[in-house]
Amino acid sequence: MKDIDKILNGLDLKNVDIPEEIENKINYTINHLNNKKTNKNKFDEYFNVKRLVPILASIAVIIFTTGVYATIIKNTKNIEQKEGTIDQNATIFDNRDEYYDWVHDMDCDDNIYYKKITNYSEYLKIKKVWNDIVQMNENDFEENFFLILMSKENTCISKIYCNENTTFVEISYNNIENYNVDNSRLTTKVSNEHNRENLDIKINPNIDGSSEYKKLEDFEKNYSKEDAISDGYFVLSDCEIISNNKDLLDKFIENSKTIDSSIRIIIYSTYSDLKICDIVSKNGSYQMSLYCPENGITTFATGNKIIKSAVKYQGFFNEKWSYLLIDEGKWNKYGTEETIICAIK
Amino acid sequence: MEKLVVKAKEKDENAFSELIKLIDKELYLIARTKLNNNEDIGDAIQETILKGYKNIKKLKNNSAFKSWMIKILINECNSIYRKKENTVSYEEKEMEAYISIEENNKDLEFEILIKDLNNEEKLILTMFYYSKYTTKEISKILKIKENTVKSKILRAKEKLRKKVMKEGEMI
Repeated sequence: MKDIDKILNGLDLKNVDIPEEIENKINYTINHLNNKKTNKNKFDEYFNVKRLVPILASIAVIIFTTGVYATIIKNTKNIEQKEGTIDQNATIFDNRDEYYDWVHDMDCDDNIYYKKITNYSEYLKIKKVWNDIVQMNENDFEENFFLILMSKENTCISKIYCNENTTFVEISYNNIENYNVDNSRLTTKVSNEHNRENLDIKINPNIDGSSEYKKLEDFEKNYSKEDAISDGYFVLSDCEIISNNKDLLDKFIENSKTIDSSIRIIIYSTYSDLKICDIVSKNGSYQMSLYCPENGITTFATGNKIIKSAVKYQGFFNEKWSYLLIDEGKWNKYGTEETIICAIK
Repeated sequence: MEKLVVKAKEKDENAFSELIKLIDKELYLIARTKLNNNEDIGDAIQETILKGYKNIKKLKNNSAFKSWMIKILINECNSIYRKKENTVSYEEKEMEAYISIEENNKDLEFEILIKDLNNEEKLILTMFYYSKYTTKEISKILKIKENTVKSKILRAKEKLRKKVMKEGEMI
């Protein structure tokens, strides 16, 4: 049998060959640094502000006339914040990072990119890119700072608090009524009283209505199958139902069409981390939180129906059914938006 | 390396080229953990080199050149991945991953071995075992706690062990 340590400790850069096409690209780049730079400058020159004004103006006119752009000011738990709202057809916004490279300009914490801005001129730069951010004027920056988060869909800023060195920003599931929006970009004005050297983004994985269950963040990554079964959850192991309540998910789907209810699914897999899926139904719509105790990563989803669909191409575990959360209000190029809840043999 | 960085800061192209030649294999290995095909990997490295050259004056600590470039590269890879995520189907991604493995057969054993790990585990193992970074250095570059790095290495190794054991049973 292969010895893992032997393989890993024996790894040596000398044995690595860069594929020819990549090596050629590297060589070309380092041999044409100045040429590339010149080309790049030409590109920058072409897309300078003066040239962008008519382009942006045209975009604004198109957006305005087609009515695909809207803004919502939301007050969630007393935090004034604003969500960028984009119709799925307004794909023109997808290209905005062509001229504002936010991935490089922003900091990142818990897979969420953010930028804290403490002066008006920096704020105006962001404002040029996204006009629908929270409104601030120059005087506002005397007592406040501005925060922009490239968050997850269906989220809002639920709490801002701090200790001596760190400002904590809590992101929670946002129970929005209008599905037809991409509300992943959040902006807010924060008092300087909360301004600290460090900023820590915390995601609250729990959704309202699942309070009957233990808090998701209290789960250990080694939460056992036996405990999950005895706690009464619907438990899957490699796509097989191992809890005794075998029809619980199907019953939940049926009942939730008429009665507000909730279910917690514990998903074990040989080749991936433990995942906990909470689904809450309210007035015929569904909110879902998929939490991974190993790394704390949470995915939120919203939908208006759950379907059980036969799996066309069986995967590693020969699953037969896919359970999908469908959002008929949201469309992408492949059709209505769907989120996989789980697969079952 | 630091002398070269000083020269590169004065826009000495040769010095910068030499610096890239010192770290190009590491850049390639790290990009490979994040992206699935050679075209994207090449693009990410190319952009990293250009950004590195353009911004090298901003680098405060000359000895941190390599980790600084790796940070730029990781951001570049994330950016490309995010753009591709919306356009490439799952099947295509799987296929590209296999093609990528087939094309680079020199370290095939390691590549096949880590195929089923998630991207973060691949990245950490590559940085730890290939680039010989310490867990502390990895934690600084990836902005995660050192203990998390350690536990991810242990966990990834455990997964590999299980995989090897399973393959052994099948044989």
